Amino acid sequence: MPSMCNGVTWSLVAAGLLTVAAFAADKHKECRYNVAPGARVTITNESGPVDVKGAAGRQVVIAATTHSDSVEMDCVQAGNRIQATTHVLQHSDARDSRVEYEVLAPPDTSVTVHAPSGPITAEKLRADLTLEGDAAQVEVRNVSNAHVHVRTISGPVSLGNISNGHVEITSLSGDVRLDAVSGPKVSVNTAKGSIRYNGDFGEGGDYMLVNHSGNIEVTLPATASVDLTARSIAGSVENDFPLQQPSHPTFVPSPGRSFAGTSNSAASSVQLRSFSGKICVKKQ
Amino acid sequence: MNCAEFQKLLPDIMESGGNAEEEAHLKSCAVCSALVQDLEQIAESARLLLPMQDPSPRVWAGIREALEREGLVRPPLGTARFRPQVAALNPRRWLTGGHLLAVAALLLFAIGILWFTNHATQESRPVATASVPSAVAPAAIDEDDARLLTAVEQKSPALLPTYRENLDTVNAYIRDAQRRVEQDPDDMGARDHLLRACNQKALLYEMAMARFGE
Amino acid sequence: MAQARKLAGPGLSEAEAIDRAKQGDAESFEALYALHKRRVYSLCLRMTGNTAEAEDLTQEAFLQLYRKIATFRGESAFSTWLHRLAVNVVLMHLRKKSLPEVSLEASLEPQQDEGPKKDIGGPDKVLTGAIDRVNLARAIDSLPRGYRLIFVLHDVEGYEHNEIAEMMGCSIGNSKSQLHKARMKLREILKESRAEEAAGR
Repeated sequence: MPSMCNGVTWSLVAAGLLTVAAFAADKHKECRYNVAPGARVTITNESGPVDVKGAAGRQVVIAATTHSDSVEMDCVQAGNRIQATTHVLQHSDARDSRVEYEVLAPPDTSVTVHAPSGPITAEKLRADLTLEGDAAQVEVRNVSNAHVHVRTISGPVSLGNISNGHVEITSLSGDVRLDAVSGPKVSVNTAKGSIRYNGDFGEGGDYMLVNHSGNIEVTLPATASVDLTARSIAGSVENDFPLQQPSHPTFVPSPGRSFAGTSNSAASSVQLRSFSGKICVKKQ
Repeated sequence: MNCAEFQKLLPDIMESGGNAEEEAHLKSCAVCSALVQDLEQIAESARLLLPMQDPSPRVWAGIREALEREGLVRPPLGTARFRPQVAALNPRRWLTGGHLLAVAALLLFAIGILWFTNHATQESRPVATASVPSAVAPAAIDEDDARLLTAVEQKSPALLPTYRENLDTVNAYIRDAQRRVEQDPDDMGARDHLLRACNQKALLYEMAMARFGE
Repeated sequence: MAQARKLAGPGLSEAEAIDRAKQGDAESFEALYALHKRRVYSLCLRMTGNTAEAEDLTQEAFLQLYRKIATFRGESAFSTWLHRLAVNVVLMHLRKKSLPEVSLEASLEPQQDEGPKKDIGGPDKVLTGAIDRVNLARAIDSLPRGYRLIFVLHDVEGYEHNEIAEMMGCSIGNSKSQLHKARMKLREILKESRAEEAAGR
C-alpha cells in the first residue's frame, strides 16, 4: 500500500513538472504598430490558429504564442503595411511548430491570412479580407462594406452577418455555410462540399452557388426579393418556396432537374447550380 | 550637482543630452568632461569598425551540404557543383515553373473544348441520357498529379491523404463535366462546370505551390 | 544601401540574385553568401568572441536566410533583413546556452569584479589621441559577454535601444545602463592597454 501511494505521489509530481515544463516552453511575443486608415496586415502561419478582430483605436496589435524554439514569429512594418510571419527554424512535429496568433486591428484594416491548418476567424471588420487555408476551418462574422475572399481545400467555411461587399468562396471539399450574407456579388464554388444558405439574398445582388456533387440547401424568408434559377445536371432539385413562374427566355425548366421563378420584385439574381448534387429551396 | 549625481545620470545624458544643470556641471568639471569625451570617442570609433574577416571555407561547405540535403537548391544547367539527383524529385523546382505550365495547360485545355464546341443560346435542353457522375470512383491521376503528391509526401506526409482525396475529387469533377460537354456541346451549364472544375484544380496546385514551393 | 548593386559575377545584381535564389538557383545562393559573409561572420564573432561558435552561427544564419528567402518582399534592404536574422540567431544560441530559469539578460550580467570601476572625483587621464581600431577590437573581445552584446549591437551595428530591448527581452533602461557600463569598461581596458604600451617602450 505505501509503495502504491508513493507511486501515485511521484506520478503526480512528474505530471506537475511536465506541465510546468510545457508552460515554461511557451513564449509570447507582441508587436504593436500605429497605423493610418486603410492599413494592410498579412499573417502567414504554417500551423496554428489565427484570430482577427476589429478594435477601436489606430493600433494593430499582433500577439503570438509559440511552444518551442523551433519556430519564431517576425513582425515588420513598412509604411502602412504590416507583415507577421511564422518561420520554422528546425524541422519539428506539428505540436512544436504550432503558433497561435491573436490580432486586433482598426476595422478599416485590410487583412490577409495564410494559415494552412488554421482555424482562421475574423470579425468586426470593414475592409477587405483574404483568407486562405488548406484544411483550415474559416469563420467570418460581422463584416460590412468589404470584399471577403476565402479559399480552402478541405476546410469548412462559415460566414455570418456579412453585408455590402463582394463575397467569393472557393473550397474543394469543405462545406460552406452562409447565414445572413448579402452583397452586390456573392459567389460560392465547391466540388464535393455542401453549400447552405440561410438569408434573404438582399441588396439586389448577384448570387451564384455552384458545386459538383455536394448538396445545395437554401432557406429564405417570404419577403425575399429574388429571381431564382436552380439546376442540377445529373442530380435533383426540390422547391418548397413560392415562386412566380414568368417565362425565362434563357432558362427552360426541366422537372426534377431544374426550376426557375421570381419572388416579390425580383431584385436579386440567384443561381443555384450543381452537377450531380441535390438542390433544395425552402421557406423560413 | 556633484560628480556622483552627474555620472549616475550619464546613461540617459549620453543618449538624449542633459538639462541645464547637467550641462553646467559638464562645463565646469574636468573629470566628468574627460569621461564624457572618452565615452563619445569610444562610441564613435566603434561605428567606424569595419567587418573584420571572412569565415573559413568550411562554413560554405556546410551550408552547401545542408541546402542539398533539404532540397532547397536546384543545380544550374551544365554544372555539377550540386548533386543533380536533388533536382529530380525536388518539389521546389517543379512546383514553380513546371507546374505553372501544367496548370496553364489544363486551363487552356478546358477553354479549348469550350471554344471549339457549338454555342447555343439556350442554357439547358433536356437531354435523353444524363452522364453518370463519377464522384464515387477515384479518378486516374496523371504524371503531374503524381509529382504533386510526391512533393506533398516529402514535405508534409500528414497532408498526403488530404491532397490525394481532393485531387481525386477535382479530377472526378473535371471528368464528369468534360464528358457532359462532349455529349452535349450546347450545354452552357456543363461548360461552366468544366471551367470551374479546372479552376478548382488550379487552386489546388496554387495552394500546394504556395506551401511547398517555399 | 541600394538594393541593386553589382555582385562579383558578370552582370548579376543583388536583386537579381535574390529573385533567382527564390527559385532555388545554386549560383545565386553562393553569390549572396559571397557578398554578405564577411559582415555576418564579423557580427557573430564580435557578439560571441569565439571563432568556432561564430562560424557555426554564420552557417546557421545563412541557412535560415535561404529557408526564408521566398518570404523576402523587399520592404527593407536585404542586408538589413539578413543582419537582423543573424542577430536573432546569435541571441537564440545564447539563450539556449543560458540556464533555463535564468533570463538571457540576467545570465549575461557581468560578475561584480568584471564591471567597470567607479570613476568619480579623482583626477583622470583622457584617452588622448585617436583610438586604434585593432586595440578597440581586442578590447571589445575581452569585454564580459553581456556588455559585449549590448555594445556590439548598439555602437558597432547601430541598433537603437528599443530594438535591443525587444531582441534581448530587457527594458530600454537596462539596455542604456548596460551600454554605459560596457563603454566604461572599454575605457578602463584601453587605458590599461595604453599604460602597458607606454611602460613597454
